[in-house]
Amino acid sequence: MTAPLLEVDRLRKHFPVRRFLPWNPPRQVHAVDDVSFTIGAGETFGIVGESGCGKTTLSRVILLLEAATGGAIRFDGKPVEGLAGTDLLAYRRAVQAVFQDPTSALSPRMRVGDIVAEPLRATGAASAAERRAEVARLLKEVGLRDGAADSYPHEFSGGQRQRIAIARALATNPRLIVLDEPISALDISIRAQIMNLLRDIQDRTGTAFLLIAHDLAVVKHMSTRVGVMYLGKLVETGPADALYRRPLHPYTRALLAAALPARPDDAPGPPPLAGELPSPLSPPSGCRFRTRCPLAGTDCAAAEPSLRGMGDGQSVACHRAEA
Amino acid sequence: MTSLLEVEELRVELATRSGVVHAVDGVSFHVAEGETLGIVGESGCGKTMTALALQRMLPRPGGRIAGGAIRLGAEDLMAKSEAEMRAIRGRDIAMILQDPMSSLNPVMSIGAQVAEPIRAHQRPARNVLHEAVLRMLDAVRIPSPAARAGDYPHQLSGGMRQRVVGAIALSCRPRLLIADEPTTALDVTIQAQYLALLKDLQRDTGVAMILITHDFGIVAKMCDRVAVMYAGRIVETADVRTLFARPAHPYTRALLEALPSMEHRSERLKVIDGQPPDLRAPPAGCRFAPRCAVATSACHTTDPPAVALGPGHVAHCLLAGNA
Repeated sequence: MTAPLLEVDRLRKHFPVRRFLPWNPPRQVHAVDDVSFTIGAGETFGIVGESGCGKTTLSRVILLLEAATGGAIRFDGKPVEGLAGTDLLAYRRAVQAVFQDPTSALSPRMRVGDIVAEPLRATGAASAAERRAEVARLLKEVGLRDGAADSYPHEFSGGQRQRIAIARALATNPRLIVLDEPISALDISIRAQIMNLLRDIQDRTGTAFLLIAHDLAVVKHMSTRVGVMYLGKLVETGPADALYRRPLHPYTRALLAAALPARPDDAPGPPPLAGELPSPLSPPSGCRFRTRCPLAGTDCAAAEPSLRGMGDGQSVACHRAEA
Repeated sequence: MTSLLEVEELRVELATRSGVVHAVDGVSFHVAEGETLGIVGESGCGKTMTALALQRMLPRPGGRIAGGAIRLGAEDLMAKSEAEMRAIRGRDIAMILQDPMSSLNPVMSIGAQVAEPIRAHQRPARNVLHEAVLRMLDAVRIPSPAARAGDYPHQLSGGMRQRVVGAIALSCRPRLLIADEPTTALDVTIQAQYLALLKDLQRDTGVAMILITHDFGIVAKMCDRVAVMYAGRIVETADVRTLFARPAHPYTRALLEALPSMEHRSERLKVIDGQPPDLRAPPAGCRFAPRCAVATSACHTTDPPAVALGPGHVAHCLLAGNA
């Protein structure tokens, strides 16, 4: 088997918290804790979880916007840590990002053409004429009108701005694009347009996606495999179909049960999950979900469950889960 | 069923530097005692302006009700003075807004904020007021209300803050509750808790509700009847089952088809091309015609009539009933 495109291995990111008084004990936010998964070339790995579960921090560490506290990221089998010079530039070319809010992701003072050309200028040696031709091709690819290159971002609607952000991400011919909530700031009639565009781009270019979203239906629609995060931990991973059909972790089940019905007559789900997310400053011992888990017992507080394979490519971190 | 609220031909105009925006343009609907009406539409369709107009709380300067009638029970809200409206707001009509952090006062304890409307409308004795506050906090399931009443908003989680907003809204037992995107700022499992709470409170108090949302899942879960808005007008009204089973307006149909589903992975989502119109100069005829897949030439010139398709089911479309 060839090495996966991206391999995340026991990745950890803790943020130190400023002490209020010098003699207070040092504290850390456990944003991402021992998270491992892989993304194959051309596939979409979706990460779902509620706010504060660490999904955005995880993506920022992969984008090298934050330094990992522990663990490793390998791209094409080669460790990403310590990359410098041309190797670092090559990684940045290969891994691009599209963020949630296109209005804050695009500089209001730059023309769209310059925005889309910037990654080319920053990472490549293309001439100005080549860049102009490439920008025209990219803007056409994302469905923007001719002449968009000479306009400013404020002249476009939210959906069109997200198209500009996608064109910019595509400029370096990346092999992986991190999509952090790419449609949640958009209106419903525009969301479908952007989801179709992303799938078309993937079909045409074979780019892999790391999709981060809180909307379960969006993740299901876009992803080949899915990981569920809770309080910095990956609690379940598996092929999208299997995971939605047969969720094994009690948190995955609770998330799916909390999803809104597609039609008014759909059977009401079980009662919603009680309680709220514990503080990532001092996560519960053992299994981090045990404080809200309907199945938790004393062993769940004592030992931390690690991901174990359950067949069909599905893995779950739960003492109680049975296939 | 008796009508609690009746709105006829409501028109709202917003004067902006770049011209007058016809935000709401001839909207009529009613809400019966104890029922939940969903108003669903995309951003800019006028749903929030409709809600604000019901309380005569349009943004000033610039916003004004340009025509129409609003009746709450036997009272004509259009004929009320500002002082009379102040007595009605909070007592008869209350509102829950999207973001609890900006609807709560950060330097006032939550107990004092729940007490405020009760004191203003009922002028109770101190001990009675205190009792009422604790009862409201308990009703929205704030754990140990007596201990938490002195807490400030920043000490609470997002879900708890929104419960406090609910307690304030319901503190004077209003007859109509307007909830404008009440769970958009909340996480999936917290949203499920909050919607269940709203339903319980409605069952206990019999309050009628207008639920403003862009999410058809919330409509399916919560509403008895639905009005779909597009570009300042209601395009379709129906009971919730009919709307999902037999949507008659092309816009409603397109919106429902553009949603990704958790049940099956479709290859492509249907999309609505284009953008909503500029409400400073809305198009003649049907406002959806420029984006409509089935529009005829008459649709671009003729205002669509209200076509009755069944009990309580009305679509504003030239082609409704023929398809």
